[in-house]
Amino acid sequence: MMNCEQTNSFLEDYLDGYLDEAQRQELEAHLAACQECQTDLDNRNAVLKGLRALPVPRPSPGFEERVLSNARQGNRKHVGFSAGFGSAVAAGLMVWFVVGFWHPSDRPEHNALSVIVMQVEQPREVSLAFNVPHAIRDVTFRIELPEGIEIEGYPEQRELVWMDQLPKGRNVMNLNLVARQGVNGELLARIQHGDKEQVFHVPVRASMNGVGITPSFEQNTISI
Amino acid sequence: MSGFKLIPFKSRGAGFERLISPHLESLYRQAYRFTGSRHDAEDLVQELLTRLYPKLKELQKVEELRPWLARSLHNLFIDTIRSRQRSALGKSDPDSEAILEVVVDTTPDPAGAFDQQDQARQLALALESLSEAHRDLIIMHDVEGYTLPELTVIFEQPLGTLKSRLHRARKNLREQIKMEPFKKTQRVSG
Repeated sequence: MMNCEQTNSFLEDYLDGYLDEAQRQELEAHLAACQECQTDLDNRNAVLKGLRALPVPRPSPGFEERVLSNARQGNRKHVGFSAGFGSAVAAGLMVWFVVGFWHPSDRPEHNALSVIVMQVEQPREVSLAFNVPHAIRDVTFRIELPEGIEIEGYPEQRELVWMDQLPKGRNVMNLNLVARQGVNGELLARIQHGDKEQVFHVPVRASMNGVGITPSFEQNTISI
Repeated sequence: MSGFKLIPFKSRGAGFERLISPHLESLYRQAYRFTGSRHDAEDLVQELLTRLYPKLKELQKVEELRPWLARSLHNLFIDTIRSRQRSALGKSDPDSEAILEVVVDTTPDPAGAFDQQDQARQLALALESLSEAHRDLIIMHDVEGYTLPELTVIFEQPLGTLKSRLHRARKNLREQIKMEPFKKTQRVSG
């Protein structure tokens, strides 16, 4: 039978499951007869259990989609603006638009068939998908939010503007929206190229109880 | 407006996502264990993924992705966040003795036991007081459940070295926790 010194040297391997069957049985025989070594084992075991139980807070909402999306885009920026933009297909609501060619005088405006229905203080991912028949360079994007709606990470900003390209085909803009109060308004997505502009309207409804929340995925196509 | 781009719908990242998604939760958890901050943990994982994305072909060839990713995350942590922490706190030799004085609870626990919250707090404190090498090893082996053979990949050290280091690390940890009443001031390894 092992003595206390030998047992002590094997206790960790025993706890980690690294002992073979014969060693394990020998050690357990000693433990059964030695209260001191058994107490030692119990203490070590308690520490291990405590370590495994150390808490980890959940990551922020949309973390997985966001880091994957950012990786694809080469972004390193934490949360901030990118927090509002998750992966293309993970969003809760997707609204499709077709971007065409237009004349300045036309200034076409389009109303989405989808309605973004939200519950106050509950984030909702919404994707705006733009189908572009030809690549368009130097496009100015402008998102206008109704009062009470924010993009996560951009508190109290009602308007966001940036420049980008529109490659040919389908392009997805993901927005992580939060309603701060009851809302009955419209989200406007403006796409401007030179002196031409196209405006897309998406109705937004937010209430305290979120009654009438739409299904998790919707798709509408607007042709112009 | 930087940081926001349109995403081509036919994403080329599907293969990347398939490879990485099953490991994301674990990577975040490890990152949090290393950094102690949700914000830093998310940043660390983001940085890792952004660096890995262009190396998809390389990733697809990795046989054991779990330890490979863990090693990448650990190396990135050392190169970025820990180096920042070091510059703020001063360097510490992983295996050196007693360079940090920590004042701990001076009241002996009459029952010789403490509740779970106290235990978690004291464990976290004790873990924090260990050297970086010891702390990392305990985090990966005892907290996250990596085996020693896996850790030879992650830490790029021989198994024997890791085993004896783990033994010392646990011993140090137990000394910090002290199941018996704490002394007024404990001298701990940093």
